[in-house]
Amino acid sequence: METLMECRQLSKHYGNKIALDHINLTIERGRIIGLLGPNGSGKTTLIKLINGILTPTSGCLYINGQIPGVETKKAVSYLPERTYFNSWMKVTDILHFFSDFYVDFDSRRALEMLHRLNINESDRLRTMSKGTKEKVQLIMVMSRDADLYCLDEPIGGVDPAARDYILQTIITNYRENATVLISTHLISDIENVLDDAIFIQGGRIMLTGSVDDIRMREGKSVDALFREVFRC
Amino acid sequence: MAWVLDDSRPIYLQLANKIQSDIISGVYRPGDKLPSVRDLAMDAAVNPNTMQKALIELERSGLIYTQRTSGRFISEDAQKVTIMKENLAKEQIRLFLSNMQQLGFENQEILHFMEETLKEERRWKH
Amino acid sequence: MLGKLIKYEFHAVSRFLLPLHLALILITFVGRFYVQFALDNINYRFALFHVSLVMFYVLALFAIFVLTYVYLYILRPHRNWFSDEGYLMHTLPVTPAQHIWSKLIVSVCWIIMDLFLLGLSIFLMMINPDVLQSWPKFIEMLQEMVVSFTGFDYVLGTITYVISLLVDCARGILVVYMCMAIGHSFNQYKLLISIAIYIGVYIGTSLVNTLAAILLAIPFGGSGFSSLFIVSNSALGTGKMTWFEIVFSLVVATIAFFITQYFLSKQLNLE
Repeated sequence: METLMECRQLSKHYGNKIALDHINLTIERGRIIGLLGPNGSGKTTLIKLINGILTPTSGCLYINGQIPGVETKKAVSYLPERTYFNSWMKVTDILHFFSDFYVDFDSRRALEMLHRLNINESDRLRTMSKGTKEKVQLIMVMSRDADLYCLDEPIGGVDPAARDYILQTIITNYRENATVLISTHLISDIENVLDDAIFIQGGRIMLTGSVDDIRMREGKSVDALFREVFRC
Repeated sequence: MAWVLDDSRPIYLQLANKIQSDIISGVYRPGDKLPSVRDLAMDAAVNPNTMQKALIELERSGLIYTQRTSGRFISEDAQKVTIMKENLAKEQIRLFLSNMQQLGFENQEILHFMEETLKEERRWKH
Repeated sequence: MLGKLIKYEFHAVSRFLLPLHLALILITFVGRFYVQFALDNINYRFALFHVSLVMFYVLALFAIFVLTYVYLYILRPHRNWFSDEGYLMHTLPVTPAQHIWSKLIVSVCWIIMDLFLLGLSIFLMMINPDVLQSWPKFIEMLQEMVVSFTGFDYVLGTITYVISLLVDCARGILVVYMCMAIGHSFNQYKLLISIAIYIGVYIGTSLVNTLAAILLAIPFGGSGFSSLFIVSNSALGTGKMTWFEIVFSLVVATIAFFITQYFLSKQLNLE
């Protein structure tokens, strides 16, 4: 299979604190991957490095063979934990913004998904609940035809209905030459959706493998294994 | 609604079993077209790759076949489905027997119980 | 991409600055008609009221001026680059240089617009037949001042001042960006560090500027942008001195640009 992203001896320090410690990792196309680890394990740091909003302390990271920059940002679609839209914006402002800056943005797909949630183009973000805003953001991110989608804790703190909606959106938009990287500490919720799992703790990769291989080998769910590996 | 999956076995095997039992119980009839991988995956709330793997497993067993342009179909070989159904039945009975034997029942006694229970059920229905 | 960034920057910034300056225009017109009315019906009983209205006008002008600057120099870049919005902006497929240019260009345009409108407002407030009559004289006097201050002819002197204004404005903005970018690369005390660096840079550049001026054996003193507001200072300067300051400002602006670019691309530290 074709390599999409590769980390070699990738490290990131914040002052004295080591967030990532010599990580080697290869991610292929056409996978839905869980980046699984407790809080503070380095998940967000890795995702920020992939998106070029952090720079490695040492080691390197390639996406499509290139270090993060303008070219890789065209190919990576990022859903951070933060809601980053201005509250005065209308949905149509956001649609224009995305289609202006991202060549791969599919406005029609976005509109379809928005209409299914009964959101109109003329709605202002100010009038929406926090949950709806987060869904709008997810729709924007998933409406790009990117190579790599990085979703940072998309299901943290949402209700079960919203969680199902998010997972459904991910599955619907799945394409076989694209990869979705989902960081979370709530594994049981997304386990059925994953191809592969990456366990990360203390800035180190503890385990990688396909979910079904792990289940076959261990005779238990990835969630159960996770609880064992990361038992406090 | 997402399919009910358990935690211990690989997901793709459980998906294959579920579709198999749908075929046997007649949800899908011989010659029917299966929904697309994506639709099945959506329905089950699983990853399309995993669903794909389950379908390949079913293809191997001959229960479904792929027509290159138009998708996947349930085997038209009704006998194959019948055999599969019978096999499944035998499997269940064997499981039942071994459980009963573990409780210390002889085969004759089991048969007797079986008949009694069936009679009772018939009475309830009338 | 730079064009698109400028478009969105202009749109976003105007959402705040346009109403602010519309208010300025409104105040000007209302004030103007009121002045006319008051002059036509002089009544000393209302003297105190009139004085406080004038005070209000001056304060409003000052407030608009300060708000425009604080917004363009600090609030807007801080919000757009270093708050949650930064997650959106810094993952766009654009370079840090394009980010800086877009904000710089839009800010300079708005500063010019702001100064123009403030000037216009004052002009409209003052205007009456007497002023109009002596207007050519005033312009003449202004030209003479430019000539005597710069030692150049009127055209070159004016160009000198305009360029000086633009360059100083850009330099001011870039230095603030730089301080903010450095400050935000720290995990704590981002604001405090930003301010400390700003004060340091301010003292440092003033010192170098002054020293260079002395070394060049030119009578020193601030001209350029600051002189618009502290006229007494510019009286000491000459045109050549102003050109030296333009070059110096360009050097400072360039350094600030590259340092900002470095920190935006390599040391970004979003919360």
